[in-house]
Amino acid sequence: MLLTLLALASLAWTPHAPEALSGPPLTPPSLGHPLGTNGLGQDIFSQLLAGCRISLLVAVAVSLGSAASGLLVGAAAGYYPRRLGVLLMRCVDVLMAIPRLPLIILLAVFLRPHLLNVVAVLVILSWPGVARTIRAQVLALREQDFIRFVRFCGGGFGYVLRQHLVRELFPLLLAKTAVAASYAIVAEAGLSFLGLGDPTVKSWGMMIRSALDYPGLLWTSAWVWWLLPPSAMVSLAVFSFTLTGYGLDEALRREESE
Amino acid sequence: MELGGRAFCIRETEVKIVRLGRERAVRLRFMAAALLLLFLLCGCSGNDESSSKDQANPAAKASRTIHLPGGDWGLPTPFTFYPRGPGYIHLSFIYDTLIWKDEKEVIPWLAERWESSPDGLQWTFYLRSGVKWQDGKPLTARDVCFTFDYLRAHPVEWFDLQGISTVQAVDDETLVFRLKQPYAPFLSRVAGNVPIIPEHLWKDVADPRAISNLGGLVGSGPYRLTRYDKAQGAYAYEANPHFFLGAPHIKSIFFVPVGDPVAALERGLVDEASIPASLLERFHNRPDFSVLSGPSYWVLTLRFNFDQHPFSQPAVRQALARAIDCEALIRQAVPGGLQGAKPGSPGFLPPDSTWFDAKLQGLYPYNPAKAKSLLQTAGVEDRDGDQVCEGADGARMQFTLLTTPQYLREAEALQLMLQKVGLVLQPKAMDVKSLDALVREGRFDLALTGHGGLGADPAMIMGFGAAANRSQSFGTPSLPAYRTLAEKLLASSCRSERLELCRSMQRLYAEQLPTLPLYYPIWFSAHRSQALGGWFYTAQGGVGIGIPLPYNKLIFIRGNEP
Amino acid sequence: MSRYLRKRAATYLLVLAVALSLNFLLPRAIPGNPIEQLSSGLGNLPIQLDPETLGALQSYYGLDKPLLEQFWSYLTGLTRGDLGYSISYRVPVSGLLLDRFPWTLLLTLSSLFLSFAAALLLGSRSARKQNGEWKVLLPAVLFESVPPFVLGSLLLILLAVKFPLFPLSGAYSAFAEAAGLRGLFDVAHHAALPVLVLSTSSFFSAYLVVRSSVLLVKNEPYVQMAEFKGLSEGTIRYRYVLRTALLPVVTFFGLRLAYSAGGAILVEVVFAYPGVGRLIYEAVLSHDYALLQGTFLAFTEWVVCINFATDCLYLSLDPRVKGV
Repeated sequence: MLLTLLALASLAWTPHAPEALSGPPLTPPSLGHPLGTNGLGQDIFSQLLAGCRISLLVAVAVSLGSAASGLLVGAAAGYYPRRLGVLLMRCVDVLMAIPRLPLIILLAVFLRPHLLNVVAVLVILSWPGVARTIRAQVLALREQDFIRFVRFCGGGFGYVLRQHLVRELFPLLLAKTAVAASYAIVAEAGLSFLGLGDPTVKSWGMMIRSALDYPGLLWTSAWVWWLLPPSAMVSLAVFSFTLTGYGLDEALRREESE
Repeated sequence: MELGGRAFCIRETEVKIVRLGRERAVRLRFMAAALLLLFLLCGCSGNDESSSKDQANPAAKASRTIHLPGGDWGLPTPFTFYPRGPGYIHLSFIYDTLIWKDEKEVIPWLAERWESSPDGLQWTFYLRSGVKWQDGKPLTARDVCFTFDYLRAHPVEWFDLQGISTVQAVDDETLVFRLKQPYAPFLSRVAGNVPIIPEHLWKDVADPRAISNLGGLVGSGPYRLTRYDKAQGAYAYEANPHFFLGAPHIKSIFFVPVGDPVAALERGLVDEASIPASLLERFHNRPDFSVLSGPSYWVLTLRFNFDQHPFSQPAVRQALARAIDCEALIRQAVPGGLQGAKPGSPGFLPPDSTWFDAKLQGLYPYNPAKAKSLLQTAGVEDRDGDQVCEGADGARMQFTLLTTPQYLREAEALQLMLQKVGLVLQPKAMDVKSLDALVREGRFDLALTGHGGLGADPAMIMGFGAAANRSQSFGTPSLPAYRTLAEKLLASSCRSERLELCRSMQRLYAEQLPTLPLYYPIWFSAHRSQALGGWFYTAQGGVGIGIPLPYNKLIFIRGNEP
Repeated sequence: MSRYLRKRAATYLLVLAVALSLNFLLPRAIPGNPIEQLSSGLGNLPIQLDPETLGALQSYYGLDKPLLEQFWSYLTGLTRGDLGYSISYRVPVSGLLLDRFPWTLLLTLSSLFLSFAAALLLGSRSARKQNGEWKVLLPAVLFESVPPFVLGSLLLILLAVKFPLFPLSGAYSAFAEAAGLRGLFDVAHHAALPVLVLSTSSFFSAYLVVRSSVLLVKNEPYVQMAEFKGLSEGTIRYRYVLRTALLPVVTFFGLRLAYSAGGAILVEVVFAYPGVGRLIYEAVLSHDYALLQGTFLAFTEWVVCINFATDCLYLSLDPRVKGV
């Protein structure tokens, strides 16, 4: 699973051609264009790679963002379980109860369709899940002896967090953010498919959308090399992230039971 | 004890294995049966659909029904139809207007003849006698007056009634309109557009937008609505046997929802569909399909920012017009090439328009050398030999061209063409909302924008801004001479005078070039030749005030007669 | 009502309040007049509003009153069941929602039943044997990774366009006079592909939940006792194991039911299925704010109600939670 992840990562650093209109539209695969050209004449292969960059960027940004905020909020909630914790957990509950895709759509309609906005919206939706698990873990950790000792010596929240908690929480965080990353990729592709994504950024979802929008595409043979590759790539990316997440989960559980 | 226990365990395991095998077999059989049942289910209903489709084709030949691509365009009353796309088409099936258009010209419809006073302030219409509503009651001039009064009490965006002062019925078959000022588009925007509704059914209706049942949809038109499925966008119409032109040839019209119109056409679910130009070859040499082409009344323009140097000088804009080869642009960028679009005319109006001035088409022939010399006289030339011009102040002539991703090919082609005369263009794709916002705020250099509705009366297209203080979304020359011409065009009712005025306006437009029209797309419609012939695109701008679709009700009334 | 339920109810009410305010404030935060946008943008026809018509339309839709008054009338309208008037459809929003809701319900319930039935069958079976589960696991994860709209588009192309086995769009054939069994077949035929796609996306997680809960229960002493007693496979599995393992599965079912309506949006758009998901997409396309708000509210209410019902159900089934 991790191998697939690495393969994807390496792809991101070898895009060679920019998305210029480098050929006549809808040509089948050839030497110059390994996957042919799309309706505008852009090389599909280089678009695929550029899309890979975008999707990975989104996935990483969202997972980092949700990890950071989830960690902070969850740890705070677990550390001060009485008042702050209750308040924060109530917020988390509320955010988790709002249906995700309709909220994304609502926000995407009213904000300018910029990639940054998409990432921001996804982070807002992903961090509650992270926070909840972190809080549970912190609650348990808090009562452990060495933490109590540090608190007894007068260590503040920030200090405890930095020195001790992060180390303990790291594997859990990783597992959770892998899942968040896979959801981010799916959500971004879904948004672009609905036409609400950033149209200047050629992500895989945008490629699928423009392929389906091209009039009469299904009656040429072009759909095989225009529509299928980005679909396959999206699935592959989500697949590898999900497997990574589940694998980490399994490893954690095995570790705990030891 | 131990032996017994072990034997017991072994036997238990054996039993387990055997039972497991049996269990699995049972379960597999169950799943297989379920799957088979599922496929039978789908297959059965699939057969139902295909058999009904087979029945539809011979039925189309025999009982004169026709299936068209549907979509939800609202309940067809004047207050609930959607003011976009084919919404008005549905309205026109049920209700009639005073005059109508066929493939050549304006024809009498509810009104047999009409005349206007010399000053253009009074219009008199003489209605046809013997016209009945679909419920049997006679249609009189009082219904027409009621329609206009009711529409003024409950305004609808589609109907432009503000210029009317009074409507009066002189007798049962004559009525007089009095206008506040002379309004030349009266015939096309009012008489040919406003559907007449029966007074006896609508006079007690307080909120017309809340109508939801089909029983109240009584008009004088050729068809009655029998079924309306909003969620799926399906309509069913039955012919009105007492229609004033005689019973229509086509007895039933069904608008059915389709996902992909071409797929539906191929599968026989519909008898007509609009096809993109790229698929023309697919339908060209097939005897069972005929293809018709018509104007889209839509234009793609290159828009200049007048506050930006050097585009503030008309000479520069004219030079750019010479630097752009519209035909080459179409060949490169438009799917279907020159079959898919017509080159732009600098006078803005398309060649399909009856107001088009053909002399302007060749005003700026493609000549990059001449363009360069024109730019030079305007102060824009390449002084340092780097193939890029500089302006009079020495600034590099480098601009961004805003566009939506749909027109990137056109943007690239423009980039190449303008590079030859020394201007560097940087295409920048963005979404429609941002593009519109930037253009409105004036924060752009050049933009590729498109507009439709060019089939409407020229006073509305070319005279906007001058006509009734409406907000401009197209660019217009800001000359006072243009404004005076526009106001006259709006008021004058003499056709030859209007033609002259329109020609002068187009010429001014071509000289000023607030935008450079690049091309006008052509639309295609393919239909089954056996189902119905005689399809046409309505003359003078399209159905009603300018809907460029081939769904004129005359096609269905006449049937196969050419 | 127990303290637990009261706490949950309070949370849900808060959710509703947040959704309502979001609903109301967002469209009014952006500049622009929806009526003008509607008339000038769509169709590209030169419909331009003169000030009087614009004013009349604005007062009809209530857009000219001050913000607080609009919010108050919005809230009071909600209690009456009036969700506003859709400018693009020209009918009240509540009517639209009531029309489309049964179709979304059909899709989500059918797909959930399908995926849960399959999960129960396969999950309880694989819980018995610890290895060999990768045969089911890997394809399931693969199918779940494919985004539903991608899978849906591909299936649509292959099975509806290229090989016309399935219909192109819609929930039933237009003007089909079919009633009774033929009508049912027709609806099933149209719903087959969307349901298939939707069930693949929830199958894997359902499978995991079933498997883990069955695993947990399987090691309980009374189950092993039943094994020693020599009861048959089926009896053990269905009478002892599943009945207790069902509890977390039921709550998971409730959870998926709540959120699957949102997941159905993309599938409905791909298959042009006339449900609430497609409605929200159309609202986005035509900038119909009343409709957008109404559908968002409907989704939120659905989630809240199902969540609450699941909590009540869980409470009645598992006495351990009551004391919390």
